[in-house]
Amino acid sequence: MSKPGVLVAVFVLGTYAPSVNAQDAATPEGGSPTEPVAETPVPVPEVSAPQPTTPPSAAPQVGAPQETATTFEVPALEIHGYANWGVGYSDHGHYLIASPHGEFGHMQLALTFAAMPTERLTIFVQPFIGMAPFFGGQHEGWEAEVDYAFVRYALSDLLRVQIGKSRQPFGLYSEIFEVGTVRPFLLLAQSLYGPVGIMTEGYFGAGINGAAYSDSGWGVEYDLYGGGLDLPLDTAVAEAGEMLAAAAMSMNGEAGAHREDAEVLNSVVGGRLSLRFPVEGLMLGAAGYLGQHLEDDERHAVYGGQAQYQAHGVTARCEYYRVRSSQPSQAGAAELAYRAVDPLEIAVRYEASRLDLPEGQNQLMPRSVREHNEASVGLALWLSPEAVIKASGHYVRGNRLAHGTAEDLVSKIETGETRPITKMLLFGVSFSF
Amino acid sequence: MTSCHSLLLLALTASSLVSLTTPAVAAADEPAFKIIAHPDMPITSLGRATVAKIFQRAVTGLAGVPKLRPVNLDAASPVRAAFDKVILGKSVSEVKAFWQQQLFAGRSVPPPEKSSEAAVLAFVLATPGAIAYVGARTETGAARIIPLTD
Repeated sequence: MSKPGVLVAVFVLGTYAPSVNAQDAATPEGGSPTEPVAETPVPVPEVSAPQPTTPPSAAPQVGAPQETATTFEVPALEIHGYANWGVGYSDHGHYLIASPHGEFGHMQLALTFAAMPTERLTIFVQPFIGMAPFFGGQHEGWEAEVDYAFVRYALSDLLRVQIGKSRQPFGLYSEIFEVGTVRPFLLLAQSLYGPVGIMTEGYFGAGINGAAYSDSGWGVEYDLYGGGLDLPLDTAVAEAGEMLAAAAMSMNGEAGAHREDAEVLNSVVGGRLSLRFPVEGLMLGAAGYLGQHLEDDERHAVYGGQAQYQAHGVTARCEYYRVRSSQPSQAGAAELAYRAVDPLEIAVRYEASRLDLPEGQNQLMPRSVREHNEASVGLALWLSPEAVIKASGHYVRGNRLAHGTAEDLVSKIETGETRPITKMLLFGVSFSF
Repeated sequence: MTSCHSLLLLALTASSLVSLTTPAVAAADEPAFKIIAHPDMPITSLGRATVAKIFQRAVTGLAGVPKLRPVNLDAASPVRAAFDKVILGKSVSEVKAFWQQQLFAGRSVPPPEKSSEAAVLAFVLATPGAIAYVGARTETGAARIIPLTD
């Protein structure tokens, strides 16, 4: 990892930490304070024959300073980044980054700046630019935004306070939406991370978080936050439902309420709790939040849970969430990946989403239009932990997310020409630094 | 005579095997690294899980140590690989993936990396709160050795 800024802060020892006498201090694990004991290094099977150890008082062989220096260095700024590029082919229509003729313009780029002006203060900023995916048969072209920009003050490991625009601590991937080098698939499960009103990339406001761990491997991590957020929402199906309902009542077929592609939620309060276990790589968590739609003060609540196991080359993740609003829905996804022969990783994923429209509208459209079921299989070639080439095949059943505009959808429903099956191939590369 | 000769050969063979395998058995217990800290560190021992959390920056302070400063060896170091495997239970690649998640989520930044044990030791000796690891046979001068409790 780099520190290209080469900004190095030099602190004077006397202004930072008191010198602590070993005899006076208690160990955090409750052990009695004692003099430093002789070396008891960790046994590791794969190393060479033992050598006699040298007393700590012996002179270093590596030319290190003999006296405690009065200054030290900490990196004041870290700059990192990631990028994704992908191409997608579908058997019909536009879906995500795919079309029948191939879409080559899917590109995402972000830079992450982490500044540490003081010991306890950290400032994170991540600008992002990328090509928006297709939803509702169209996309908005290039989008540029600030993924997050916040200040965090760490009172302790148990309590850190942050203010600004932060990642929403909700799902397994909600804080690393576009980071392609931490997952085998180019795109996330759209049933959860797509525009379905479950989670967003960031919230505006304040939050606290912290963690505590035992020496036996147990741990608990929490996040609490409040503020506002923009909730991505593909409204074409809902609009189509309103159009069909209006038409059924002999009204103007375009009388559906105007909807935005992002619902603004205010007065949001939410949290996430994660438990760590002595079992290596296992995590169970629950998350939820409650807010009010800006336009109509309607309540919007989302809650659910997640589980993850990541060890020994195996990654298993599953998540399930429910949405309580005027259009309740539920969605879940399960993903299994295995790095069978390094550097190849094979992955499979299944996801499902169900949308309930308001009274009377569910009956007006085929069930497949309110559903999204997707089975995916992917292959990732890890050139390094920071660079990966990916290929995946996706079989989509349902038109909740794979559809054209609301007008197209209404037309196809009325003529019975909806195509509930969409097949898609994705190829891409992701890297980070 | 023949049986005695056979027994002798058998004994020699067994002896040779033992002599050949003994280093391998010993190698299985060979310490690959040891934990070191700033000479003023008021800590006399640590549990493996706590060390892991320190190097994941999940634990940033302990009693008497308001700010811990972990430092890693370069990813290419075999000592780093042994430390990551034994303490974190992960390969160096998996640890890198972990830090990508932390970094891009705006959670934390990885500990600084030093290209040599000399640089690590210099950092540890000069930096209050510093904690690191070096090869088991590396002489560490005034640095405090932190034995593991498990």
